[in-house]
Amino acid sequence: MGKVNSVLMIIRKISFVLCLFLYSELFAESTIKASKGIIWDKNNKSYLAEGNAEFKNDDVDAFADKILAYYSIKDGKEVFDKVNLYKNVKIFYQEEIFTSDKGVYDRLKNLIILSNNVNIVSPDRYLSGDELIVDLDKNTRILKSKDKDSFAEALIKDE
Amino acid sequence: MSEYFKKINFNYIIICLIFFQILIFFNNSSKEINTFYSPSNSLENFTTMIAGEDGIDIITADKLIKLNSKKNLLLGEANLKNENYEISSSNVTVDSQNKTTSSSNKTTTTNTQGTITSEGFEYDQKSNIIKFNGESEFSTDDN
Repeated sequence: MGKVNSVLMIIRKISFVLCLFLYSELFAESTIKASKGIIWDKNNKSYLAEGNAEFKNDDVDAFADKILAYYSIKDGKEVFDKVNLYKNVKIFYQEEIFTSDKGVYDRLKNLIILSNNVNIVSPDRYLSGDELIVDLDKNTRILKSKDKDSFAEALIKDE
Repeated sequence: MSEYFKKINFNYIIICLIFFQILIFFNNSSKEINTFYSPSNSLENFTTMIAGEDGIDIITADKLIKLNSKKNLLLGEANLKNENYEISSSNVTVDSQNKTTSSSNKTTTTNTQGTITSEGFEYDQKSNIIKFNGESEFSTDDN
């Protein structure tokens, strides 16, 4: 009888943890902040945030002077597909910080593409180039330089 | 002789008095009519429904004041709601000629994606664009 009760208690605890996990997965949030306002263009299905703009979700925390986020409607709800970042771009992803003049966060492909004056800063390295492609699924970074004679390309893969 | 002049003067005075009496009567009566037919330029606990591109817009406000033939002021707490979004603000100006609605007061907007808080808003119905002015935050539920 005592064993049955303890098994039931364990099942209850597991189901409670599962419920919490499912809840957090169901209600993952994104946030857009701006000091100079947000413009909602219903025809182009976009939000334009201006002035110290920030886009944040469970994966990335991105800052820029201007952020243009496109959404699509799925099951009657608006979902962000693509986030364009303009000027003084700074993206925090796990332990890394990516900076550039321009950036795109493609949520559907799970890619971050940065261009012009790109820098990667992490606890153990500092790299710079002209274009950076971060694949969030494969956890790879491809850094390209326009000057082919010098540093051409760097591929860094975290295990 | 003096009695004759006195009689004439008295008649003139009576005629003048009657004339002024008539003048006062017509002047007063026309004013009364104007006051009576003057339309009321404000409504309290105002609610209206307008057919728009996003279905039926329901506008509610503490008080509606008609500023002129083209502009209305929704005084106090105001709410603009349709099936896609709901804008809650205060002291909202509705410009029916330019098809714009705006407020420079704290605004909360909820739509199918989330909630937007701002220091004011401007809604241009022609371009279907809503500007959320000042410090703004948009919190969404992406799933």
